[in-house]
Amino acid sequence: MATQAKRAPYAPQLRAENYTSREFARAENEHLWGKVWLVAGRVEELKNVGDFLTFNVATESIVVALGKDGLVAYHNVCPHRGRRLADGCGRASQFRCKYHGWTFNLDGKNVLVQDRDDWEGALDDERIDLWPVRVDTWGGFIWISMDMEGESLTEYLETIPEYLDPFELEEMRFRWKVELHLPVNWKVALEAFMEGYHVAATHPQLIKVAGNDYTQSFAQGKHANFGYWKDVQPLGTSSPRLAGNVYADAREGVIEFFRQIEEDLNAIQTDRDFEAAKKIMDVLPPDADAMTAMVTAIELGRQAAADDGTSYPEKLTFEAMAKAGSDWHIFPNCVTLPYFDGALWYRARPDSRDPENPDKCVFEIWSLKRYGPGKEPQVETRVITDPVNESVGLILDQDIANMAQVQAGMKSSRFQYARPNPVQEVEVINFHRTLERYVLGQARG
Amino acid sequence: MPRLVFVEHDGTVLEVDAREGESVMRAAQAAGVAGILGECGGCMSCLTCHCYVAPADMDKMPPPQAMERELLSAIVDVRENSRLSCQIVATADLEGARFDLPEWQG
Ligand code: FES
Ligand code: FES
Ligand SMILES: [Fe+2]
Repeated sequence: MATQAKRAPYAPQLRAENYTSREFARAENEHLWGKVWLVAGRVEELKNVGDFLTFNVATESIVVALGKDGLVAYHNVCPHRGRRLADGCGRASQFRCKYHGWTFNLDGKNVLVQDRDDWEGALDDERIDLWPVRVDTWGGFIWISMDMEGESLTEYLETIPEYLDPFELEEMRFRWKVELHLPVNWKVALEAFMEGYHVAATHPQLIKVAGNDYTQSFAQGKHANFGYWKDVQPLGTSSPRLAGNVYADAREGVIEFFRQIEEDLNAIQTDRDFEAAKKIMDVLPPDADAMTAMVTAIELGRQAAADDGTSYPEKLTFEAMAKAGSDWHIFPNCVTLPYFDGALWYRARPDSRDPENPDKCVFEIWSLKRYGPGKEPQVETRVITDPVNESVGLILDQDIANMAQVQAGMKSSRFQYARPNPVQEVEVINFHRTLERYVLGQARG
Repeated sequence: MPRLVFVEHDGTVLEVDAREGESVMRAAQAAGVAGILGECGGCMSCLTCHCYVAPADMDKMPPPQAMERELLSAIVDVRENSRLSCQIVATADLEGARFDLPEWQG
């Protein structure tokens, strides 16, 4: 469990222009994306030598491929006259430019310039290989950095592996993937998942069975987390914001919690967990206390995972889970909510088709799950351009419904700055302080 | 009509009578050899017609030109006997020549 250093009362402020100004978006594109480690994809997306994927962020495009000796990454641009080399994902044993045929091997080396003799040898001194990008892996994700002199991924992640390694994210596989094109700043989308302060007002149905919804949050260097550490109540019980417990039978409360997560979110906890949780009606007496009901449901989930050919992560004790908390912001553009059997992962970016527009972003939601050998599904990305009319489940619909309203609201002449909660919204506060250091050279007051 | 022998990566053998003067890639395509794609039609821009010529048959055909050699070097599973089949012309000399196909093209 984390502890919070006592500090004098204060009311933090976040400038609205961080979300709404074109200048700030341009400055982000110039000073942020090229300086940080970013998730480009999942390791399991590149299985065979030659498999590649592209990752576009702001004005940059990166191609990552599996070479003979492991992952390689390059700026996705042909040095001849600038055509993008690779598109989407696929398999190729070399990069061959579609414009004039210049060809590069998987080591990024130029192996063919058509009619090279026309340069009469002068090209020998010119840079005609691909520009390399650093690539590494952690948690089953492919990470890239365009900063060739910057810190290593391990340094960049700071305390994250210490807290999140026990979750074995690298053992999970896609359960589903959604890509939303939203009329909001990339930070507005991401921040909808960076605090638990909104749960009571945005997801009122959830607090009937989600235990105490009061959160605390902490900066972890550039990154940050929040969790439920104060006056903890078991899942299945009602928030202290409600009078009394909604379910007199603790077992029913626990099952209702797993049902909501399964049917209204379809992530973090899994279908397997929900099915297992239902069995507490058989194995526990009606007067079982809430803690017993929750722990028994979790142990049944663990058993169900084993029966399905997988397991819960060995090092993920209840203590390790409590230490990590519920939600991590991984600076700059990812958030994860990991659990025993699954995890949610969010990734937000400016929309590369209009990269300086502060009102547009691409926001991805990845549900990950542990599968028995060979049981992972073939998952296609569901692209959603009209989130008002296309549902991604009740809970996420509720979160998404706030986003456009926030982006519009922040443009009011009266709204100069946001007033985030200093206890429960530290992820958001720390995000902007860190971001401002990258983008402006120093954090605003 | 030289008879060419294609061996798919899974071991399937296809014997194909090629028309003299056409490329080995086209002869393979016409006969439905799965391991040869030839997406660019033979202009050396797709590299999806890669094959391995049986070492004993190498001297039945002229060696690759500079551009083909450079392109072959970019192919991940290139070998000593790699060729782009679109650059080999079927002649009577090719009678019985054997072409092994790689696991994948691209
Ligand atoms: S732009 Fe790539 S070869 Fe001309
Ligand atoms: S057919 Fe395209 S390179 Fe041979
Ligand atoms: Fe939410």
